[in-house]
Amino acid sequence: MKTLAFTIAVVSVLLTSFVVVSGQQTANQELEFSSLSLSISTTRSSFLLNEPIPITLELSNRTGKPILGHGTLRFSSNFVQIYLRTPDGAKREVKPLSPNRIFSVGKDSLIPPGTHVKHTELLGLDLERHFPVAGNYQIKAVLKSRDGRHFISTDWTTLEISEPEGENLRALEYLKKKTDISRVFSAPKTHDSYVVYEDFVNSFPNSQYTPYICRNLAEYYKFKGSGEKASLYSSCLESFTWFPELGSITTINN
Amino acid sequence: MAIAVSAKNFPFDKAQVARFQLAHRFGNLIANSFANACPATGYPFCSSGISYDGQTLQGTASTVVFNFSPFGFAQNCSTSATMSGPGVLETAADTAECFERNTSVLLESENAQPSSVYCINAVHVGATGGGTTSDCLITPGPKVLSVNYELIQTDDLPIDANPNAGGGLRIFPDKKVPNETVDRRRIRVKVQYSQMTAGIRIYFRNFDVDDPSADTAPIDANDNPSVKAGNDNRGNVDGNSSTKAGVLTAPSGSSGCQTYSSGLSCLTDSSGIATVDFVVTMQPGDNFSVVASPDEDYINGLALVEDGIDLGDPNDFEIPVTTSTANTCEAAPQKACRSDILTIWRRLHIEEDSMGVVSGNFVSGTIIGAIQTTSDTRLLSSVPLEEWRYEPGIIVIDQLGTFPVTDNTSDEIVSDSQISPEDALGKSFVLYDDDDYNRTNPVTYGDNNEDVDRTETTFSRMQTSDDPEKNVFAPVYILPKYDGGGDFENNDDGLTFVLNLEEEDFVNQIDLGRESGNAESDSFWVAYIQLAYQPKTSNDRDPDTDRGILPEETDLGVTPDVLAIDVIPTDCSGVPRGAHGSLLFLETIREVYDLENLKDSGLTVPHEIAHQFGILGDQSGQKIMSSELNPELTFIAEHIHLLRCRVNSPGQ
Repeated sequence: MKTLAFTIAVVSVLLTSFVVVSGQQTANQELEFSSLSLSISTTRSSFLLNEPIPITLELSNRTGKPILGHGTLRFSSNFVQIYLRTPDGAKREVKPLSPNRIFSVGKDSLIPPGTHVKHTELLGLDLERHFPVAGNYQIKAVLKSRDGRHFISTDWTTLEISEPEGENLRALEYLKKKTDISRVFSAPKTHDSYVVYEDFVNSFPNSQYTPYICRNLAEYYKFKGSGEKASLYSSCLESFTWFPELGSITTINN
Repeated sequence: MAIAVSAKNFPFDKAQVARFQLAHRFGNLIANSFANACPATGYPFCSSGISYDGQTLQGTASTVVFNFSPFGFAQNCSTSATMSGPGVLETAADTAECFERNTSVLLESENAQPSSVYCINAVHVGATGGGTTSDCLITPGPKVLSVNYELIQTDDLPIDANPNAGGGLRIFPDKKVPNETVDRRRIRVKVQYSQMTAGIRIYFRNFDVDDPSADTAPIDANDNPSVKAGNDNRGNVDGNSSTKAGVLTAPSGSSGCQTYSSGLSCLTDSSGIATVDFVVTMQPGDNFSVVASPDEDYINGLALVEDGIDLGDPNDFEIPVTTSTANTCEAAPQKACRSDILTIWRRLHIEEDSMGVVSGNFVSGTIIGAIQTTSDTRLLSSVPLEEWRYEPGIIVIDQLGTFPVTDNTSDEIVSDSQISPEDALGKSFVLYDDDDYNRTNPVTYGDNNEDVDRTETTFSRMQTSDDPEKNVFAPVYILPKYDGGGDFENNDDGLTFVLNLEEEDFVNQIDLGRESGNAESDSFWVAYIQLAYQPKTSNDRDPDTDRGILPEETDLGVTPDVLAIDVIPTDCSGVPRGAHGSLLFLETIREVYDLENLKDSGLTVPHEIAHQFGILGDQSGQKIMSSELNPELTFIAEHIHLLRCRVNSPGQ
């Protein structure tokens, strides 16, 4: 009997030690990538056909522990995927997200608890293909880990895509006729296209498509060193107060 | 004449038979040759052979039993054989009790005709089994001695040895210069006939032979483990899908050429030479062979054998070949001769621009405050600073000297040197980060006043070379040519320097330098590379270590405005446009590899140019197209297929 009691006591001590040690190890270890949280939002809930959609992704560590991972949210990386549900219920990936392929390298690091990373970028490529008709679409984002083995996903969020009318309709018809509508908002190309863009802005100064073209023109003339024109089209862009700040990454820790 | 040879001492021993079999395997078909269709080892030993000495056709067959013991073998053994071919039909049989002797037959004929196939077929009955054997030969006669390719336009790269799998020859059928009108796809096939006689009709036939670089999809989808199939070229001639094997045409000004069911026939001249033109496809890695014969029926009966490259006739005779180093057609009796394999290679003309002299890669101001501690000195800057950028770097303080910088904030500079605050206060300073894109500066003054130019590793994996180590595009049959994309004047090494290039400016920056756009076409491929310095400040790896909450991504290169994909169907449909050009960030490349203690792999240029070809990439495991610093030096099979499917110049 004494022997049995001694055995139970020894086993209990060993088990308790094991649990304590294991618990300590878990407490000290970081969590894996899939413990991060991702959310998706847009500046508005309704957009016109072929109107670029500013997408804001927010990555958060809502746990109490550091998480090993990355915070690369830009569309030109291969970590972000966007999926759509079309009005007829079909699901598809929006691909490519960016007109640029960037050879980028980086390493994972520990993302502290309380970290929030926000990034806003335009969904502006191949809109005619992805949003072919007016209706309610659902959209979600997925962020892959650096090795591609882990994923985090947002919930589906609903977007209403509506038919343009009046000046917006005429503006869209102009763009379809005189530009490569699939890439006009994301990948402006030749010098000649800027002549068309200027004519567009003059012809349709108030359309919902206009600030995107003003942005292209402002960047082009800034690059060319044409300060006056760059300023002109920057002012055009600023006149659309709803236009979001793009490309910025906001990182906060609280 | 048929003779039954009755002799216990059969005239051929096993060693002789083995020699004959070896000779057969190597195509010495005039010599005696034997095949053993009875048990591979043991008895009865069965053999048959056929030979021709220029006058007499002789066939022999024999059946050798184990021994002649009267106790073991009471039944009859026999050998019967037939020797046949054009003008010849001889049969004979020999039967004996098995314990008595071996059986054999000898068949002879003097009616053999030139360039004809004769066979002996024998039936053997032994004491412990039996079977059939056969052997064939071709009698000598007038024939094609050689088949060779010749360039019609001889002012370009010659037809030379194909360094890739399968060997043979290669040709560059694309344009040498952008605006030329000559058609370099059209070459000449020249045949030498054995008789110096004019008017002999020679039949030509072209084949799309197997792709020897792979046996599986997507590179070569129609092979299986035992049989390699031809008809796997990706291109065709002038959009006609039935011309994957190229097109045979009559040479300009020739007469007497005629089409026939398998190709084109032309007449020999007085030197016994017949020529045709051959138009090849343009897809890199496409390959061909051309066979010629004076016998239309014979050439119609030829087909690719199991290796997908050699040709065989209905009697399983392999067609000899003319190569650049040997010509088996001269000695072989076959009525046809084939050319070596000819493989398509393409040139990729590269316009290479670079930014000019580095300027403004520093910040200057005045020290408006200073504190000295036991371990470092902290200096307050009069001008705002990019946070952490100068970790590490140097500060040059007027009248005090140069000191290392270990850290900085938006207004403070930290040095682990002891600098007298009293001396530093009010002094002007210049602050440099650690930029040294070509590793030439023992003290880094931010490369200021240094020209941006290629380093020894920039193009190290994309040289004008057939060596896959030096040209990773060699296995896809593409050879880079640094000729400014058709005009050396296009290369500009003095583009306005930009310290940190913003993402919005990528396309404009490329358009600023790219001048080869008008040169490129389907038959003149051009890629554009601009050697830039750094991407935007958040991605330039200054500071060296991750200082923010999140790790920094570092950009080594970019191909903007690209349409790309990773996988296309085996029929080559859906090759995307790709892109016009790429930017290379030399300083961040240097920085990243140095920080990882790695030698620059030199793969950033081929990685970006492959994007121009329409490859999406940047996924883990995609070798050259992954975002790894030292990946395997190859493209994955899907990307190889896509590169070889491309018709248009990259970006078109």
